[in-house]
Amino acid sequence: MKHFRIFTIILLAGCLLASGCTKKPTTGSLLDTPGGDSGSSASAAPSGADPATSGSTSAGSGLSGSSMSEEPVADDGSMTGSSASGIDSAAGSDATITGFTPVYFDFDQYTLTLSSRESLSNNASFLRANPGMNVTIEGHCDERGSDQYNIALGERRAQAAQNYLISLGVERSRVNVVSYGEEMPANPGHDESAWAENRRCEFTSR
Amino acid sequence: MLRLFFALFLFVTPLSVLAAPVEITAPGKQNIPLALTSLITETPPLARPEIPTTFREALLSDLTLSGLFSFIPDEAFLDDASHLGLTSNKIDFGQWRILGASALFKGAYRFEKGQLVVEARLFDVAERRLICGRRYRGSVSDLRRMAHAFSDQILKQLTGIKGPFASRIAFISNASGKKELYLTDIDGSEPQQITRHRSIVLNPDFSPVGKELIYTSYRHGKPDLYRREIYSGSETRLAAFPGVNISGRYRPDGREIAITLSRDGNSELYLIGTDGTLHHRLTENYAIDVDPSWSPRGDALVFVSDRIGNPHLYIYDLVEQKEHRLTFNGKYNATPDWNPTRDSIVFSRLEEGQFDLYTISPDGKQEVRLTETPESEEHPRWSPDGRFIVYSLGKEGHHAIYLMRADGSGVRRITSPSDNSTHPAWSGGW
Repeated sequence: MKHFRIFTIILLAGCLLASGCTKKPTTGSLLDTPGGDSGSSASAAPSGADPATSGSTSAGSGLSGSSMSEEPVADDGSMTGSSASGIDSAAGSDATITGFTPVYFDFDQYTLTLSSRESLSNNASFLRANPGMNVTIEGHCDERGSDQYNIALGERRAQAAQNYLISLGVERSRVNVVSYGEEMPANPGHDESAWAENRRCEFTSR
Repeated sequence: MLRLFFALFLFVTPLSVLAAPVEITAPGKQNIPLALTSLITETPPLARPEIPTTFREALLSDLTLSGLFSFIPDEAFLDDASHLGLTSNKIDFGQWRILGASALFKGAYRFEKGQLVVEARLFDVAERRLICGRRYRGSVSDLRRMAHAFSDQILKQLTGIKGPFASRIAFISNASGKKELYLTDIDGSEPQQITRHRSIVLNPDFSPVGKELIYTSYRHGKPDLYRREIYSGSETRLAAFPGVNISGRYRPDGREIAITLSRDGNSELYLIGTDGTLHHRLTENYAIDVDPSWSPRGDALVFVSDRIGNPHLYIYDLVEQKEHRLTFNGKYNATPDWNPTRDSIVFSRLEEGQFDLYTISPDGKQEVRLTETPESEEHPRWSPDGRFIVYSLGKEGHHAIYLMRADGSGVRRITSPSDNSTHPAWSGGW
């Protein structure tokens, strides 16, 4: 069964590739921020995603809604380990979610990876379980890159997360965004693992 | 008699030997042998040895950066160096000619009613005449600025364009633990903290017409644009539209500001008035558009956009209202600054994790690499005369402000690396 799934994913990915990278997915258009050119280039990002890890992460539901590009691996080891909690299944387990989960991005990217979507559906569930709560999404970048550009990029990341939450039924009025660019790293280090932790959105209730 | 002369209006004559205007961007080609003597006291009982030392140090520093001169070693100076005469008829030019000097600096200082008075003169040795003379009055703490002002005059006489040494440099430092705005002289002396937002202050720009600065600050929890009068300290939040209010840059006439706002959804370029009112939206696309810099005439902007997927430089023509791509090399080009006096745009390019500085002509045809170090060079800004560049250099949170000539030569550091300083901006004339 699992092998069959992996095979399907590969097949689907192949179809998407064949149909051209620039084509936008038709479902879940809210999921993707505009600027498809850069989104498509994300697929070439050196994420280190290998098919085995991809297959273990989740069922095809994430894939159908996404550009074919993204597998979450390189960003964030802790997230990729979580098994088969697709968008729909996460929505059903509101009671077990106790807080917000940050989401992570590739360098110079604001497209949501599969694991980012999982985190966001957790966050959407948390918001549904706490109807009086509003959230601020902080967009952050790593220290590389130009800092004014990174403020704009951080906002893009926060908006991508915001739009995804809205697509999952969270009221727009409950979600606002602010970008800190590269100014507030989560990890003060200067290596790839620190940078990966710093390319993120954080969620704070207000 | 001497005093009577000093009371006369100080005059300036063109330099015959060095008559042709000198270009500064080709170090080594221009090499005027200069004898730089120390100030001599005119009031020996009030002599203060640190005055000649400080003045000479500042003058030597500026003139070295100019790249115009070679300096005759002090040890070779003959007795005229210690003679007070500051008029061409009292100077033994023969002594200076023997040493191979083409130009001679002589000067003196005295105290008048508690005020420091500095006399500064530059002579053409071959023609035995004054090139440039100035008298400065002030306190001892103004001494370096007197030297910078005279350096500016020397460049004006020799090149036709005033030097930038008496101007100021603003920069961002987190020496206090938070990123705040600072102001310093060109030599980095006496940096002063300007903001105390205890937040994040970024990306300053000087008004070309007044003693004021704009910058981005998170003082109210998000990136807004602020304006501050430097001397009164009066500060206003100029632009606080929803979303980001970043990358503010004054038009060369000082009457409008180009800025990146995301009020309409994503980062776009706009023009706002100096009172913060929205004038025009310029760009309209799904990409990030940031870091505008004005052409000298204020009829175009160079800016950064990721519309092809990664950041490159583009030019927005305000007359035609058209945009076109400027850079095709590299994968990550950022922080452009358009030279205020010539056809050159300096910018930073990210390659293998480090930024280096490049210049490119506005037609995109000529690209020149300026820096090649293991560290990261970023945030370049031209001097008001367009002959020098201020920028930040460093890595891993240890950055300092540096100066160099337009061609990348003459590199020098002006702030302490421990202060972690970035985002310099060079003022206009001060």
